[in-house]
Amino acid sequence: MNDDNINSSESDIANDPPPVEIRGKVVDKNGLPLEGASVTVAGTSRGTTTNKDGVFTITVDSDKRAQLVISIVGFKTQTVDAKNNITITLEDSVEGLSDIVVVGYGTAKKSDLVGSVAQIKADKLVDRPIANVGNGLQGKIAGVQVVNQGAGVPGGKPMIRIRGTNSINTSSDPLFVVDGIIGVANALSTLNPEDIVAMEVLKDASATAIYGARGANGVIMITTKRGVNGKTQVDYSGSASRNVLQRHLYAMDADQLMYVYEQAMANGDKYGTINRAKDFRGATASGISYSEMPWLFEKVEKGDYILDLVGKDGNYYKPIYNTNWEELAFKPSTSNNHHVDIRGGGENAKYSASLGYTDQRGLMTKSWFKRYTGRITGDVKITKWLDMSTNISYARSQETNDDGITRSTAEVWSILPVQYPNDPNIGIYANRWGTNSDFNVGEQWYNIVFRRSQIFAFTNRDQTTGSIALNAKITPDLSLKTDFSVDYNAYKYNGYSGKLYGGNGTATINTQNTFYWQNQYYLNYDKKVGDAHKINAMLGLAWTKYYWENLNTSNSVFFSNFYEYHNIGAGAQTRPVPSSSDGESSLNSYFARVNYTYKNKYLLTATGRIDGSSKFGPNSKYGFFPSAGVAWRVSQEKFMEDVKGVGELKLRASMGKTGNQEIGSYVSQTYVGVGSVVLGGSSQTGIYPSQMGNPDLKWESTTQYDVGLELGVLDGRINLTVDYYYKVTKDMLLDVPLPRSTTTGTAKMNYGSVENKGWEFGLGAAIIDGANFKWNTDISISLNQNKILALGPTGAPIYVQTGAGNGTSILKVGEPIGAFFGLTRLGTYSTEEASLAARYGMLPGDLKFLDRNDDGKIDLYSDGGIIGYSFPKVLGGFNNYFKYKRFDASLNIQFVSGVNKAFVHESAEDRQLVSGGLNSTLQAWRPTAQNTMIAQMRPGNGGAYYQSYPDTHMISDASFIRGGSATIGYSFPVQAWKMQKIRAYISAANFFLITNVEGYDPEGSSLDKQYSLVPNVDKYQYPNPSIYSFGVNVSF
Amino acid sequence: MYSNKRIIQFFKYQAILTLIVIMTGSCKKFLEEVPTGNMTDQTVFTTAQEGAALIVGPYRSLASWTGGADDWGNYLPATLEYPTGKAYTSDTHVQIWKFQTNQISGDLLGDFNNQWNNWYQGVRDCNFSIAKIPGITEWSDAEIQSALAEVRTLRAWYYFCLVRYFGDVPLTTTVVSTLDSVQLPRTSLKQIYDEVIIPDLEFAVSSPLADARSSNGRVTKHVARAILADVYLTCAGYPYQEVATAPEKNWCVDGSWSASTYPVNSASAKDFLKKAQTNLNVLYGAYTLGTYDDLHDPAKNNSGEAIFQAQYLSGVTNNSIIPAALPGLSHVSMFGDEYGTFIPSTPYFKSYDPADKRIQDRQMFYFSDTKSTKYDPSQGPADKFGMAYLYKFYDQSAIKVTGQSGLNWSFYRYADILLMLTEVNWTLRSLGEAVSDDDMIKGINLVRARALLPAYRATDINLLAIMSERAYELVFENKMLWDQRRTRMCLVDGEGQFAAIESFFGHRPVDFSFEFGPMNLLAPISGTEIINNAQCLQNFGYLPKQSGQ
Repeated sequence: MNDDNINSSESDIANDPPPVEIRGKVVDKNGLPLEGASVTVAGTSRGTTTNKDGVFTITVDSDKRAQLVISIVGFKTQTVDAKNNITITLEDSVEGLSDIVVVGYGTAKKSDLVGSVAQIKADKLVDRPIANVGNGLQGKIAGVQVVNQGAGVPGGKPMIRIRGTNSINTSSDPLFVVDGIIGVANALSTLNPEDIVAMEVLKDASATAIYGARGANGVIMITTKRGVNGKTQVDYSGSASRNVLQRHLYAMDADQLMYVYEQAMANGDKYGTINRAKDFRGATASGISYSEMPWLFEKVEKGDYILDLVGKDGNYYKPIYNTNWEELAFKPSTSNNHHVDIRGGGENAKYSASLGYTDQRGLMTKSWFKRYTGRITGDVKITKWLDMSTNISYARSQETNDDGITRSTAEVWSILPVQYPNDPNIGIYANRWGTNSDFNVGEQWYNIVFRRSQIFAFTNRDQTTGSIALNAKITPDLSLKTDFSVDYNAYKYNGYSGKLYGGNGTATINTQNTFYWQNQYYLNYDKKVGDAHKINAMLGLAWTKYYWENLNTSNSVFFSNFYEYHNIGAGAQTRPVPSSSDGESSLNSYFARVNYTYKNKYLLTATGRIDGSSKFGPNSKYGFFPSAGVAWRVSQEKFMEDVKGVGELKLRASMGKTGNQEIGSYVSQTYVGVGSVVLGGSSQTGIYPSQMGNPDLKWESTTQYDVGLELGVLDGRINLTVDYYYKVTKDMLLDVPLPRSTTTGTAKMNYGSVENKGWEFGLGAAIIDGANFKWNTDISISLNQNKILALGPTGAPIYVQTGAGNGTSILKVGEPIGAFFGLTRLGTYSTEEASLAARYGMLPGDLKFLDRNDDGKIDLYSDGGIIGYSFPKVLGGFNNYFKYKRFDASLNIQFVSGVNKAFVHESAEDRQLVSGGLNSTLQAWRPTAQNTMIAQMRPGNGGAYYQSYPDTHMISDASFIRGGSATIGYSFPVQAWKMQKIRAYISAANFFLITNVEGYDPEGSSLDKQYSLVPNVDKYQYPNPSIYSFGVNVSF
Repeated sequence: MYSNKRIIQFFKYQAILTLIVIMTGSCKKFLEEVPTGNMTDQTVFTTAQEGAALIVGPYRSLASWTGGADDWGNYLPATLEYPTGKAYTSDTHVQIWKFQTNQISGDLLGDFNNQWNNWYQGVRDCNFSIAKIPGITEWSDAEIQSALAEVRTLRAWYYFCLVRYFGDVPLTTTVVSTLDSVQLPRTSLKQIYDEVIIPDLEFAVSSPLADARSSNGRVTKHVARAILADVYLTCAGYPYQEVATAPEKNWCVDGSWSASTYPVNSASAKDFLKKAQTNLNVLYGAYTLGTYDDLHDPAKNNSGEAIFQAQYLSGVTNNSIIPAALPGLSHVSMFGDEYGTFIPSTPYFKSYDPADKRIQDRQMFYFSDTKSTKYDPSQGPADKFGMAYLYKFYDQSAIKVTGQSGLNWSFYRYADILLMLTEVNWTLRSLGEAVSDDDMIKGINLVRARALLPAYRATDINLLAIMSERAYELVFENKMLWDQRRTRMCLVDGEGQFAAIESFFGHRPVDFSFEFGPMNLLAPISGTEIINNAQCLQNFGYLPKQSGQ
């Protein structure tokens, strides 16, 4: 094939009027030529692109008054009269990029969209250093809730919900499509935000249904940087951030602790049979007393200490140490981020390459997340009609595993030292690390500094994704695209728990590999018929496959800490048991979409997808997911010509069905389990029924309706988008709780229904648009109402995580997902209420709970009720962007309202004197202060009973207003240095917080309480730092 | 309009695509699902090795006997002692005060859920194996009968525990394979005894199983006989005999229990006792009593006086009760936590004869210990204990060296058989049957001789003497709760001896705020069962109730 052939054939098309060739040049506002700008003759499909001098030639019909449309990414599109030797100056455009949005299997002009699609570009997503794309989304897009689940834990992945939670036991996470690879794993943590050009959030069914079985939770499309035609461009960005503890958890100090100890022991007999061996008070002690604990107490004169701590020897004592564990655990830290990318190419081949390094440090010592990323892309024009684009990216991330460690900051006695001095007078304690059991009332809690020196755990992730896509232009209107893409993930957990005082040492290595491939073919047909009709159609088919394999192993009984997890064979455990599993799942899909536009006024989009999934029963493998949407651009109507100021007015409506198949493989099958059973001193293999199967298992589907309005007034300076949606999920893939008398307890069944409905408001305003000063504001507000419409076969509520020490929640028909369940704490029994207390076997000073059914018993199920909600009623963001001469600034404020959080600090108040505890214990009941929520002090570990339930006392209003981020940047005048850009900035994140909640943060959960249905449970949560950063962006 | 060349090119390209599509495989096969790591209900078991695995599977729930009760420091054996009124804890994480104040309910942490789930898991495992074992083609008829006898004995055991603890319970004897019939109402406990427990055990006793001791933890005919004797003895008492007066009545839910005389004088009671006597007589003399040290020595697992035990192996499947029986936070052991939650109450301990060998230091109890090397490398003396702790669960190597115990838990040991034999013979004589003096005292006196206590004459034997001896010998072996319930009698703590044995109704244990009434004869039904099985009603007096109950 050669170019002559094509040219001759193309010239055949333009036959009737004598054509005229005109020549022109496209430049930017500085007069520099723009290469690669698209120039088309308006109303035709004829087009060309500018060369490296910005020059183009094009043939127009001489008998018509032809117009040329010039467009290029990053500039405002212009339409000009076709004149020879014209020079067209394009204006930079922030809006320019947003004109084109990425949708499933293609792109579309924003004005042509029928569905609800929101876009966020790199400049607003990465306006400060962020570790993951979720952080950048927070408060920016209406309908998108981002919950920082691990709060400040390095590498913590936020939970993202688009228009509410659809489902109970399947994932409600959105689908991530990165450069066309569907369902990229860990996109939130392994993708470097600096690599991103733009993100689109597909919200309604018209937009998501093209992803059929995977579209129900919304889709996040991510487009990464690619090569450019023209001068090679090198960008570097780097930053350093300081993380600072913002709020405090008030643990009891040594004086408070000793006061509580003395009080509790004195009250002990009232609440139980006291274990005298734990009573250190000299006069009453049958065990040791203060005088026998020289490692913790030192002698003082009477009156020299606030309390009279008397030893058996008759002398007075005071605690030697007063350790603030929070101060030792959480220290300011510094994070770093570097990213460089190179982009360039010519007309026939474009390339880009990038390298990124992120070192995110947590507030807790030795807690960090590191990520190394690399990407290469190539776009090659193989022939005039065949393009190839490829990309390959690699990411390695490593993070420390800090599960549960934060708790010891509040649990360890403040009277302990980190490590005892090497003093022979304290005998065996010399040089030892302080642990709770050194004070004989304490359980074995190791102090955090000690734990940090003995316990190491890391998670490593390696991810390689790549794709090759071919785009064949069959005719000017018809093209065929095919891609083959892979996503390979290797996960590895390495952990070692050291020989903590006589312990064995345990090393663990767990690995998981996953491999995903997709192979898709789709035809695209684009046709304009006359002036009025525009048709775009797409038809495709796809195969995908997903494989996984796990191998877990651990060993213990190490004779030394030397080996850690590096030589797992060095352990001498009697019988370490490795475990492994593997599996696969497949999807086979057929999909189609038609867009039809009449006179640019009336828009119609219809999509359909048939997905077949291996995960379902033989009779339900295939599901059909259709959608349809219409839009009316009212502003294009004749009668709107007189309406001044309204640039754009569009009304949209859509409906459609999407599916959810995010369950494990093989769940429809009835399993026979296998395990080792010890008999006669040896392990033997036994088999037994395990998983309950369900051959009728089928798709969960979500039907969504959406109506929207888009309004642009004052020449596009104010843009408003309003959407109302209603979604209902049916045939939920529910883990139906079943009687344990006949079953293993649950089975995956298609039961139940959930609805989500809500409003979304997005307002963008160019408040000031002066030559020197610009101020743009974006406001997003989301209101979602979730309701469970139906549950399992009995309609019975499902209780989740019942019992003390949990944020107990309930799934109940008529109530939203994420409702907290518990007793109502009325306070404490007063002295006058002694007889009432006795009805419950209690005493004055004990906790008083509401006895809902007045049966004289307190029972969680029978007396409990809904006591809070873990998803907010309203959330949003207020985002401002300023520009003054060479300065730029941004301010992002987030707000969340109508939400509760559970604080499960059980040992703070309920389990008194079991461990350190919080200083709210000081508000405990006393005869002179009976109006309190906290039971009278008593020695939990000295033999006195206590009550601990999930209850109203641990639920608080978690509404907040947060200073999400603020940035000030300055761009240096760099033309003289032959550079394109040097910008330096300082920024602050999480720099203020207005909230009523106690604890470190109103958002998220402690690491071990991360339940997607109840994202607000704090049991000694990792603190969320304030982050202050300095960074530079340099372009050559 | 287009050159042929281009069209040809396109079709060349398309041909390659089509080839890839074909290579990807046909659609139907593409979506087929074949699990790799798990067998399914479609798997056919035919070989002897598969048969062996079918027998072993149902044993797995036995080891859960000492499992956790979902309450920090609380292990399931403790939840069988707290309701007797003779237990103490030095650590109050466990909510013993709820037992002491009659505040327990079906949602009280995991006590009742876990027992329910463990025993029913055992039942399901057995039902599965019983259905599959006949398909083992490599086995002879006798081998299949032996295998069935073994598994049916286990099923009887799980049901025996369920009905003693909960009363009427849902009954399944087949594999539940469809999800539409999983909710079952409770079946009368009498029917479960009559149709499952007794037939299963009688099948085992008449099977080709070896009529010998079990030396490897597996069921033998001796095991089946021990359980069956206990079943017969229990059926001669309550609640079976009371239910038999009006089997159609909903006793457990109504709570209309009132009978309190023991022994029960009925033809069926006598018949059961005679059958019990037959089986006990087979076991009598087949074992010998060793020393009390044997009881806490893992080396003596499945030997000596052991008859039927939950099997453990240190570091593989650990006996969890060991740290619970240690003095709380005493720093004497290598265990991460010493719970102090499995302790006989002091009045119980004081009811032993001071001369009883069992309460001498380091026989069945101990009073002091040394510090663990973990806390004190020189193993100095630990703090003085405030009370007596159980030495019968003192696994020396676990406590001082490994922190993991492989000590078996005894369901039946010879001393229990001896005491049952005396009880059966005394009861039969009380009901007018001819029993020789020697037959009556031969069991109990062997037990007393080891405790260095004087032998009883036949005239000394009465219910107080028998139950006292059971309390002394089988202390905290999870026997007293069943004894209280089947006899409707409770021992009254005393000094040097139990002061009396009195009716269950109206008995108020020391430290309890209430007197036992009908509701205390049963445990509350698992709260999760009540919620998920709309057909299952709650026992009298307990929460949570079934909706509409």
